[in-house]
Amino acid sequence: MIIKTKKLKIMSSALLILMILSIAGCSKEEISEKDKPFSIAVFVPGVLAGSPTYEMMDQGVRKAAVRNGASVKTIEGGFNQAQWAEQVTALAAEKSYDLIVTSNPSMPELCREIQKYYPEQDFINLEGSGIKDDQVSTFFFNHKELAFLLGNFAGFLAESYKGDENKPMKVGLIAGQEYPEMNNYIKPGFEMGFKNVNSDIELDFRIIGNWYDASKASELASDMYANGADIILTIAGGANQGVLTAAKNAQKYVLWYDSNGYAIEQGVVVGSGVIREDKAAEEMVSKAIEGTLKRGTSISAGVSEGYVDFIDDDPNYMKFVPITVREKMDKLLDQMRTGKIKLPVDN
Amino acid sequence: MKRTNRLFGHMAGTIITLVAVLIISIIFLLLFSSDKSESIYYFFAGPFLNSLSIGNMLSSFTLLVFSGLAITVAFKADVFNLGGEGQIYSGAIAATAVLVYLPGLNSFSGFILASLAAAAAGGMMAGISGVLKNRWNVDELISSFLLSNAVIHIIDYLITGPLWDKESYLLTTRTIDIRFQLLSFLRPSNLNSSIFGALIAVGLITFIFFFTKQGYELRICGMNREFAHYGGLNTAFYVTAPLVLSGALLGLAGSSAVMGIHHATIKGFYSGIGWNGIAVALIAGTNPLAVIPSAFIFAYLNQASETAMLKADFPFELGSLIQAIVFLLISSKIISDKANGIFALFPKKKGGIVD
Repeated sequence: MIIKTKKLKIMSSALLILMILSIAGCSKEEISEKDKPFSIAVFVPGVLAGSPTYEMMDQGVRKAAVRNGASVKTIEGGFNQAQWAEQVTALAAEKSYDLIVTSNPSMPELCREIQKYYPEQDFINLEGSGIKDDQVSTFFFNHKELAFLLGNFAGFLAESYKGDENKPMKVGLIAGQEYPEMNNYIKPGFEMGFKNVNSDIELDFRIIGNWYDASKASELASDMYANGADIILTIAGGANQGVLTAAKNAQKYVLWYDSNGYAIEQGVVVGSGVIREDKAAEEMVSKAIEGTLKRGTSISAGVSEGYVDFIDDDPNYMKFVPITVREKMDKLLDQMRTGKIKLPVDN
Repeated sequence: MKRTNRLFGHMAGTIITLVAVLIISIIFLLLFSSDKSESIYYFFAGPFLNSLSIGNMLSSFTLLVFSGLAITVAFKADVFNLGGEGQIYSGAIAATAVLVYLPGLNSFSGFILASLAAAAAGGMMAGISGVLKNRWNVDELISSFLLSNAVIHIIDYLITGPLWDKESYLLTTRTIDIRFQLLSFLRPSNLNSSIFGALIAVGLITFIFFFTKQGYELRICGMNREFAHYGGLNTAFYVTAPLVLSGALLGLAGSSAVMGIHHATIKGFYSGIGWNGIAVALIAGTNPLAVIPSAFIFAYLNQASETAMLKADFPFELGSLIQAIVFLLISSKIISDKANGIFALFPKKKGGIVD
């Protein structure tokens, strides 16, 4: 036994020495300041895979970087919200990134806090709102206009599917959680949309409580369909899948929110909005690389500026949506895209 | 003689495990990282490169000392507490509720009350498993785990429902007042004064174990419960009491995270503290003082994969994967060590523990 442990001891010390040698072997070369290309960190508050908006942000940043010869590193923060602040702080602490790009309404607050310690660090937040004397640049997408468009579409559909029975017309909205954008812009905008079509239509609004529980989403959606809603706008991240399942079973319909969703379930997803995070990211990052982006820039853009829209040129849209609905939608889209109808938000 | 052999055997085993962990980490880094030398450099040196990572490492060290110590207490009495996450979470939410909703507290009374509430919440949760074990012989390994999982869902509901901060985009409770926030060091890192609390806790537990009658009895029960029973000890008490103590320490881990780091209970923040506490305790091998180096090794590994992830091309999932491997290796080592006692999955090893 003693001999055995001795052997182990020798073995383990040998391994340790090997390891120390291997560490000592790697030293880091410093690149001189001048030759250093503009370097960008993209912080994803979540993971890229399965999150179209984050993927769009990443693509937009990379496009801008390739065009301007900048380097990009994407860091996934994972789903533990408690760690995001620490991770972005670590990025800023490196002092090697000229710019940190991120996207999530919760991030501007964190970035401002971090900037107190690293005042040199520049940030761009997509999906964030600016404040007075902001040092963090933000890009705010007009969710009210997007929700208004989708609300109108839901209203048109609800009208076209209405039987002669006298039951109240309902449209549904499922959210992963309540958050300021949802309560202040999306829900009111959506409601304004279908009330614009017919003020008798009622809203059935449900909250899942997280962004991943597809089975709960499915339960809620089934209940909503059973209670008279024909169409549900789902804004629930990974839990959207549950709404799709429920819609398929009930032979009802789903509206997709922030990226082209028609192909996800043909004939079930009959309408889809899009938030062009890629475009916003590309433009803002290009400006930042060129040095023309003023610190604390706050942009708010909607349908007429081309940053949020309803997708009406997808083959599935043509195929599954009745022509009468599409014609009404065309008219509205025209008015919104040309800026005749605008729903400004005060952020 | 036998004692020194055992101690040496344990240390040698631990060192082998850790070396294996490091080798596996290096292999992973070499396989998956595009800039290999850089990621290896950052993996090993990263945690010490700036005050921020040192601070964050010491901050996770603090939490791991609390949770590792808690599990050590349970192990010492030969009981299992797998409910770490739920107990940390209940401690955190109890502390937050006290500090946010109880009016008229000053910073001192707030600290004391919140800590007591956290310890009581965690202790009660674990204590239930002890009572179940004594009453109906329900295995505490199962009951603590299941209870914790159920409680996590209830607390999630509280955070996303009644206690949710409607002003925040995060899933979090309201923030505690600045007067309740612990002293921060090496800002903006997470390090705070609860690190002293953790070290004091280690001292206290060591004192209880080795210098009090109750500690002695607890250790006897841990070594051989039947012997303790026939020796006239109240063995039932030494199932519940260590579990309560263990849960209380985990509750304190939760309250120290609330008062020192997040200043609110953020949904799911406990992730990685509860289970890693078990790994810390396994390395420490039921010696409360050994929790300190053991927690440090773990905090270092955490921070190493974190910095490697941030600085070099090191995918997010890989960090967790390395930690999972650490956990696997360490727990499988302990399985072979304690085979005759707990799992009996493996045949008795030569040189196994002779108690």
